[in-house]
Amino acid sequence: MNLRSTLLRWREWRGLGARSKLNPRYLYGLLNESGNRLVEWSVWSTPGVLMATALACLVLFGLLITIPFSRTEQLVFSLVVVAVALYIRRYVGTLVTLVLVSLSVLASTRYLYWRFSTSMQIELSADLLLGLGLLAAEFYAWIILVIGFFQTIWPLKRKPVPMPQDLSKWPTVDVFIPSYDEPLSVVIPTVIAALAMDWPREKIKVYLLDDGQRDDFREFAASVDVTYVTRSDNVHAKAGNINAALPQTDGELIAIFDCDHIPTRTFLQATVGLFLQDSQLAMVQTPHHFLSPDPFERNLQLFRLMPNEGELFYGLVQDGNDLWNAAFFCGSCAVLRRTMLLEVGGVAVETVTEDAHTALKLHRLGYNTAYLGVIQAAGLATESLSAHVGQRIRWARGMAQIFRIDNPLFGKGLRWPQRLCYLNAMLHFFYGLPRIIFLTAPLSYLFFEAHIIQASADVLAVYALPHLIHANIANSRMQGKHRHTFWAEVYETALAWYIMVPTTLAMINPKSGQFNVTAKGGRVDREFFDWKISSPYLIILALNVLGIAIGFGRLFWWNTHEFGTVLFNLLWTVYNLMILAATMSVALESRQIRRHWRVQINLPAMIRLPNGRTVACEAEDFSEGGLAIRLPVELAIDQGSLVRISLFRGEREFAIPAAVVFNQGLVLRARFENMNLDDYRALVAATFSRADAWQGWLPERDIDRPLRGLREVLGVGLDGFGRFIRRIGLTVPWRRLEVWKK
Amino acid sequence: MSVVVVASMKGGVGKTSVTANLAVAMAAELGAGCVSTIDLDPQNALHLHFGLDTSERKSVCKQALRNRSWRDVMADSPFGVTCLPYGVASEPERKAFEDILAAEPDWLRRHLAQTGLGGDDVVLIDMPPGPSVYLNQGFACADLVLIVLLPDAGSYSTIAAMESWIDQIALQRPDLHSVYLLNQMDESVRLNRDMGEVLRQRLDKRLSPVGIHRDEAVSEALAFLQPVLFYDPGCQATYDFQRLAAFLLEPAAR
Repeated sequence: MNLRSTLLRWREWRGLGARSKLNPRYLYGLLNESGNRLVEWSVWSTPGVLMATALACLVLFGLLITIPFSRTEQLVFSLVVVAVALYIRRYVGTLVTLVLVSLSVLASTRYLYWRFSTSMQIELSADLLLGLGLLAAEFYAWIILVIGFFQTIWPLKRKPVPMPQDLSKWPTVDVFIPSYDEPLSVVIPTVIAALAMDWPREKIKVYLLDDGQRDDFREFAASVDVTYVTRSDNVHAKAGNINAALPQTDGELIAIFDCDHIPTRTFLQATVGLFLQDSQLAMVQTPHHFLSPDPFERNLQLFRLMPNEGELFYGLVQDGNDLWNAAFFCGSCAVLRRTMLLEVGGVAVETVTEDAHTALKLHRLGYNTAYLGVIQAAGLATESLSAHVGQRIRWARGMAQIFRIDNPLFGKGLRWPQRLCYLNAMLHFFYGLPRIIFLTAPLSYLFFEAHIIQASADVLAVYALPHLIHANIANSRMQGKHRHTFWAEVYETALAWYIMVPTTLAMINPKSGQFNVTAKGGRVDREFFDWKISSPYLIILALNVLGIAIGFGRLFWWNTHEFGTVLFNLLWTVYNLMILAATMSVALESRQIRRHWRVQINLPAMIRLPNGRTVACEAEDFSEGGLAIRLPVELAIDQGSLVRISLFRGEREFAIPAAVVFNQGLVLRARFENMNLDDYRALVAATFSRADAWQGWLPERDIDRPLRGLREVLGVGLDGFGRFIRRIGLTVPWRRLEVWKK
Repeated sequence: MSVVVVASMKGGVGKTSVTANLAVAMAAELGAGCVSTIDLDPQNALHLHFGLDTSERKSVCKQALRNRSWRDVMADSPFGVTCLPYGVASEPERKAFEDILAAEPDWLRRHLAQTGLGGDDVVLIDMPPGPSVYLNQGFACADLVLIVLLPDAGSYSTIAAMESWIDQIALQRPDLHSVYLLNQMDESVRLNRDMGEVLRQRLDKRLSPVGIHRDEAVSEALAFLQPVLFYDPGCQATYDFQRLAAFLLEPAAR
């Protein structure tokens, strides 16, 4: 009985497993009809009308933001607007999304305006300073909200452009696979899959860029006819590695794969068409897809149950960026045009996020980029929480560096939507400090009676609640498939502390900080609690618990005259505690049993037994190490027996040697044995490099239901507390007395 | 009635096994009694696959010599397929039979018409390897010729002869379809794999997308006088025959 199964069962019981069917009246209802008619109204084409309407709307918007209301008036106004939003959100269509977004911007701006104009203390005091801190954090959140809406308002959702029939028009491609210290076993499938990509043989060259100057890499490259490239130093890490290879190669296009991102055979045919269509196109990016769970998913046992962190970016943000011609380069699973890359001096080396910075430089020269949201490669996620945190620190530091030395708001060549998209990408990584402020703000009252918001709790509620409600309605509509409201808080909170320091340092001195390579392919051998990573949160958690204790004192004895204020701060603290507790669960690293992650497949397969007999069966999952087979009938075969397992791709067959490691009932597991290079090619062709390898990987998930998310996070939080306390119990020696167990 | 002739240029390619097992697979799709098999190979081995009595006196050869209809010769097997064995024939009897066939090119067509089989029924005819009077009879009335190949150099070398022969027959029978079938495929053997690839390239669309894997169960099944589909329902060969049957029974393929 673990959390995951409980969650699944609970969903099933509540009938939440399946997606709710959309009532057709929300598709073709009166509201949609009138919306369509409004959009197609001929009046809009009369000159000036559109402008005048926009101006009138803006004036009305300004009025609604600034007009002072009494508490009751504000309450009635908010109730009406929230009711409208709740009613229309069930209708589909971009127009409705736009209305919901406008309502959210209205409510949030009105709240912020009120906070600024009415709820701040004027005379200088500690309250004012703390209050300003909170206000600044809220202002930051408002900017992120509004720019975020702008960024993702109309995701482009490009489709691949088919390649021309005439092969002579197909450009030459160099495939770069940079590696620094990853083991060869991680790199082999990537190189073999790159060689197996569907492209004219004479027009593709694969390069293994080894920054580790390793002999086994050189030998492997020679054995598969891949050009091995190395250099004498390691200056500028991956960016330098790629740049060093540029003069030694000559393909028109350059495809880059991190050494653990295994491409499907369709990767080039899906992406290159875009370059032929648009001569100004400099780069095409495809999603980074992970076949193993990240530490959040693993430790919370939520793999494939919730959208993970990357999904918001690759599922929505990049598609949104693409509309504004601001899709970013993400370092891997991308294709670049050589001439344009050379024009910006190769991959950027000034910052540690060389990829985003390179894209920025390309955009400054007026070139286009594109994002193709079709998974064309897969790799391993970071293994442990500390590695994950390390990677995010690098991203945050790099983004802060770009913000300092090549700020997208200034400088030549960018159009303002591009500036905003880049600004949001960078500002996003400054969430560390604001989040810590939100986690500790109520404590300033509970501990010191600091009134950082100069308003009674009921007035605050009628302004703040509509702001929160509308933001959630609009966000869950736009991002619902890619991000679940309260889970995102958990992700951000876990990283907030670690991101806060490097971003601040990089703002002060952009030159500091080095590139740290993300460790992958390792394994967590036993369950342990990462004290080092979680210590800041433990302190904040302890403070919050203390705050609650004091809060009860204030509620019943010391501050009974401001019951509302105490209650408000208490509730806020309870919410913070819940998020913190869920964050703690992440730090409890669960044991990772398998070295290779299994990927679900349902492929026809065949086992060829040592006696020449065969079994037609189905492969259920595969990894680099082996296969799981579902048998039609029980099979008498001993463990250790050598067999051949064939996987089928259409009518193509790929036979791989394997040894039986488990055989019980109708389940058989086999480990690949004595694989030669041909067998390896067959394995990759039948699995990772299949055109449909990652299709249907993301099941149609439930869209975001914020209240359910809240309850689930609460569940994880409680569970985290429980496990955490048990873990402490185990480490405290006196609890180890066997007497207790008997 | 659809007539499928199973042929090969070379012996020992598993043609009789293919005929028997394919018939059983088709019967599973179409229903018992809808599929008949006729053995026109003097080796007289087809009926063994159905576990039928070898001492059966009535047979194609004998009936032909007595100029009798086939109607009471057809033997029902326990596997949903009717089988008409070639029969044990002495050397003069075989000669005499072959003389009849040489004299009357429409002999097979006439007899098939007399069987009273319906429009949805399928008849599979097992032929001796290489050119023969039997095969000429088959070409004259078949809807489909299934040519069995092994993934080896021997089979590959026969393709040219087979193709020119089929081209010649197509002059008289433009509606005659032919499909090549790769039998006893073992992807884990390098030579098999390479020959399979060469055959696929050479024959392209004329090669059946479904091949039959090498499988010991097929030979073992014969030793137990059963079709492989009954002997080992879970083996790859069974699965292959089922898919081959489905492929050939598709209206487009027929």
